[in-house]
Amino acid sequence: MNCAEFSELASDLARNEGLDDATRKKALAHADACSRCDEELVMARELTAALRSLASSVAGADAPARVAEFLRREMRQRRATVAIRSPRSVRWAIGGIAGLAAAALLSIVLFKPGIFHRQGATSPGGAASTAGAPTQVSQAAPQVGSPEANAETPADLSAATQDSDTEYATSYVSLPSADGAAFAEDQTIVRVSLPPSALASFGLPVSSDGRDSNVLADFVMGEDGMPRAVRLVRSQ
Amino acid sequence: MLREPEYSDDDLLRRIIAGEEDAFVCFYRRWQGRIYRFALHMSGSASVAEDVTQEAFMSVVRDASRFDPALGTASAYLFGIARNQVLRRLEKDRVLVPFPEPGDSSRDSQSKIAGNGHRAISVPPVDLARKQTIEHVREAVLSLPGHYREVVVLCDLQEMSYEETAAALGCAIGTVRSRLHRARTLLAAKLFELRQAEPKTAARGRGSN
Repeated sequence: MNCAEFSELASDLARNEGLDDATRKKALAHADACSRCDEELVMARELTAALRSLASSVAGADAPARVAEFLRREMRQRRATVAIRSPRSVRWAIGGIAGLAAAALLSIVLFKPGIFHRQGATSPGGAASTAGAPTQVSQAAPQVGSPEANAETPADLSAATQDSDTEYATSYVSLPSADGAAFAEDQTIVRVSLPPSALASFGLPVSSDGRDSNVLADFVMGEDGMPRAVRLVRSQ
Repeated sequence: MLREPEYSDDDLLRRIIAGEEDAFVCFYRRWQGRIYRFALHMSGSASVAEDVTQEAFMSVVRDASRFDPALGTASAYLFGIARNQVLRRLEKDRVLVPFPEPGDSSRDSQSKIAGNGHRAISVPPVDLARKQTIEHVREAVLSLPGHYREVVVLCDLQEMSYEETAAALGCAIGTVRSRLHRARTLLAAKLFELRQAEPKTAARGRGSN
């Protein structure tokens, strides 16, 4: 072993890591025979000792208790969200969120019939489970029913095609469960039918002009099974 | 309450994903000290260390499902998050270590760091020489470029193996070894420089001990 080779190993030697026995013995033998390398080894060991002093000076340092308290609160909130997403209650969650959004849109729909856009009959990319009712894409999708900051019209849902089965739909409105998430092209769209009367249970204003028929709504579903956005649909 | 030794990190992360608070508490207690001290050594600031620790574990609360045991250990996963948080924070805050001017007899990183808007690192009462050495080493470590500093912090201060460090940093073991070798060379030079600039008063104080 020469001095250059020893120098490459001095740190490992001082830290006593990363060297097999044979290499270690060779390095130590070289240090015994070379005063310059022996001095380098002494300095490397002093550095290791100094670093250990620094490490020991904060050995007992922990994050303040308020960090743990904050994180536990966050964990509980997350757990509450998970509970809502359990299989038994998922229908209620979807129904509830759908109701909130549908109620808001319904009010607009009932008083501003022109809010619907004419639709084609082709499902958007990746759309699924339309249960016999063709899922549509909106044309030119104006931002209706929500402020721009809260409404995201997915680009993949903006393209339109048309055929003879014309439908009209509002633009998509982001739901609270979207939590700022972007829409992906392959997200599933689920069409559901909601009775307007059910919306009243959410404490939302429901028009009482005699329209008791169900309302059709398309939900953009996230990978976690939670709805991201909703729009109302009307067939002609 | 879960008893720590009974559960591996992987088990705990699976339980955290399922929403088990006890599992999270267990995981937090197991790792928070090391993550906090890693951030403390990297930044030289207790407040940054606190923020980084909180953010690292918030990532676990939010996205533990991202952890894939096939890709690495929970330790590497957690240190990887903390490292990214530290580097982002350092870049954002530009936390600079106030190096003392030559002849500055009031060299005390506690007051200087506090003056930088952060809470001071508490140093247990030790004799003057040892305290002086610790402050020198602390300053020298903080003077290193980030990619050298992190290997020193992980390998020498956190006493992680080359393998563990490589996993945490997402690089090869050989890279860790070569960076550590270079970092220690820089550290030795910086310590020498700091000792040369040491005020005579401190030297006298050390000599009297």
